[in-house]
Amino acid sequence: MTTNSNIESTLRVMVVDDEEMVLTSVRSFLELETEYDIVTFTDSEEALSYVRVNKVDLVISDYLMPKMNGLEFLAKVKEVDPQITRVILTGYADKENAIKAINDVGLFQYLQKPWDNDDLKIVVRNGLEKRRLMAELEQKAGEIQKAYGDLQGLHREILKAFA
Amino acid sequence: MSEQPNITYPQLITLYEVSRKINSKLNLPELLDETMDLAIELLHAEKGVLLLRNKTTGELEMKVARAMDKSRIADAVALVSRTVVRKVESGGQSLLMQNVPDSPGLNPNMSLIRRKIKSVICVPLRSREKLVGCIYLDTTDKQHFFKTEDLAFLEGFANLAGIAVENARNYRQVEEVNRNLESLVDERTQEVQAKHNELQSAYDQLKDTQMQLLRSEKMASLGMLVAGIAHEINTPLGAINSNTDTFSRCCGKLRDSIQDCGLEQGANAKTIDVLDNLSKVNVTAVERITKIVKTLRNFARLDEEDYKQVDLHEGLDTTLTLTAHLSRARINCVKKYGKIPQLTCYAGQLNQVFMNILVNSCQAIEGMGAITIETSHKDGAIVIAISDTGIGIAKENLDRIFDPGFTTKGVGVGTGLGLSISYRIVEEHGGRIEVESRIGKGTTFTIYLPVK
Repeated sequence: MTTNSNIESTLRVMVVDDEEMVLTSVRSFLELETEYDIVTFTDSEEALSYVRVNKVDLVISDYLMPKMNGLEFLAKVKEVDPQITRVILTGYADKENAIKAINDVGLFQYLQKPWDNDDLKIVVRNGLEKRRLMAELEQKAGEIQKAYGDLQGLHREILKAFA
Repeated sequence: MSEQPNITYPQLITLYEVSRKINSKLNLPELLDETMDLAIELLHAEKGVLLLRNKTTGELEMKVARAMDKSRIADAVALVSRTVVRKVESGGQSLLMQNVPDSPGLNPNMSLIRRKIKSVICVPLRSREKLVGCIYLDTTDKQHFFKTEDLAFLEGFANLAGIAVENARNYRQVEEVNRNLESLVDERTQEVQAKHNELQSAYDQLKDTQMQLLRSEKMASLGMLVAGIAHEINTPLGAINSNTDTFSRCCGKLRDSIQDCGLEQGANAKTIDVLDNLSKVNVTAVERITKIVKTLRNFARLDEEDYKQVDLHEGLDTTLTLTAHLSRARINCVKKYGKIPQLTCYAGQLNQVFMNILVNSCQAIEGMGAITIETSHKDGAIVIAISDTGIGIAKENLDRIFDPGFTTKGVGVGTGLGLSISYRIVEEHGGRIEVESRIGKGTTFTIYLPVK
């Protein structure tokens, strides 16, 4: 899968929380208000397996979870694909830890429980936009690189012709 | 006492009377006076002297000197013949000189001769076979000189007197011991009382400390519990909060689609209105829960904020402005600001404390009243006293006002957390809050904040 085809296909948002009710709520809202494809997981390891084989554009993860916490999970997501936008959803109690770790893990945003739906929508939209822009940037860079390569090829041929 | 058989029956009766009389006296000086007077009277002596052995010096000392008319003789020393007394003392025997001028071999310089004594008699006073004193009588009357039977009688008399003196002395000793004992008991009682007071105040202090400890321990464990609860509530709350919003959006979409499809409005629209209205109630309900969770969180763990140097007067003024809507036109706010230093503190938290107390004060005043804020700097601490002229707090509630969850305000008015949060905040600043209240008069909250 190339970056190019990613942008054109349906955007996919993954939500991970050990609480089913949070998943249902977020999924219901996003499905009602957006056209994104929503996938949800209560198990972080299963979520990680999914990311390894499927295209995902944005991940929203809870902070306090069994097996691994949200930051550890998102760090692993980053390893799989650094281009996936990562958002953490925290309760009050772990807000400070989460904010401190944002830079370490390179998070796009954090959301606080109880979250505001409009905020959630904006964060998701902006996150995906950033993802799209980054992908576009990469594509453009690729094009430039390719053009530069072509140009150098031409340059060499010209030199060869005059030599 | 070989002369004893010479005592006549009437003399025995007299002795019995004497015994009765002197044994009724327990006061030693009175007894001695009485003894002397009786002896003088019974023997028709002119004067009599009673000597007792001083227990510390061992000397015989003159105790009483009486004249015939029962008067005391002031300068008695010169009136007793030392020669006679010494003889009685050393020999332990009674002495009678019936006719002094005619007695052979007397020193003409002797006091008896000089004073023209006609007759003299001296008998020892004994107590438990020991000589403890003597009775000395003399007379210048040539008609009434002492006779042999007088001697026997006086010896009997002296025996009784000796016992009486011993009794009186014992009684005096017992009395003295009693007095000592009493004063000792008094002393000990006072000591015990002092110790008791000391213990009482130590106990009170201990109880106070224990109460405070218990309170702060209770606060700490409650803080953890509350933090846990707040966290637990938060997740379902997040879901409900989101769902309520999604519900409203669904209603909007449904309404639009009904309109778009040109369907019959009526019943469908009504159903949507019901859902929409319920949704609005849910929004309010969730907002309330969110607010409570936030308050619980505030209580459980104080939100970290800047620790900085501030002027508490500014904080008080800000808080007064914020509570102005509660006091406007009915409560007179009096500021008695003293000179206080700047305090390094969590200013926002302390403002919350002022706010909690001021809101309570405003609510305590029904109708017109006054709130006085007094500040001072005492013993290294800033003291802020907030007094109101409100209804006061009942005694049984006064101990509980800092307890989390305790409120006398109606359901939905107070959470019962305001003052316990305030207590915690002030405690975190190393200070304390005290409260004083009188029903119908008002309440004063005093905050002590140590200046580091």
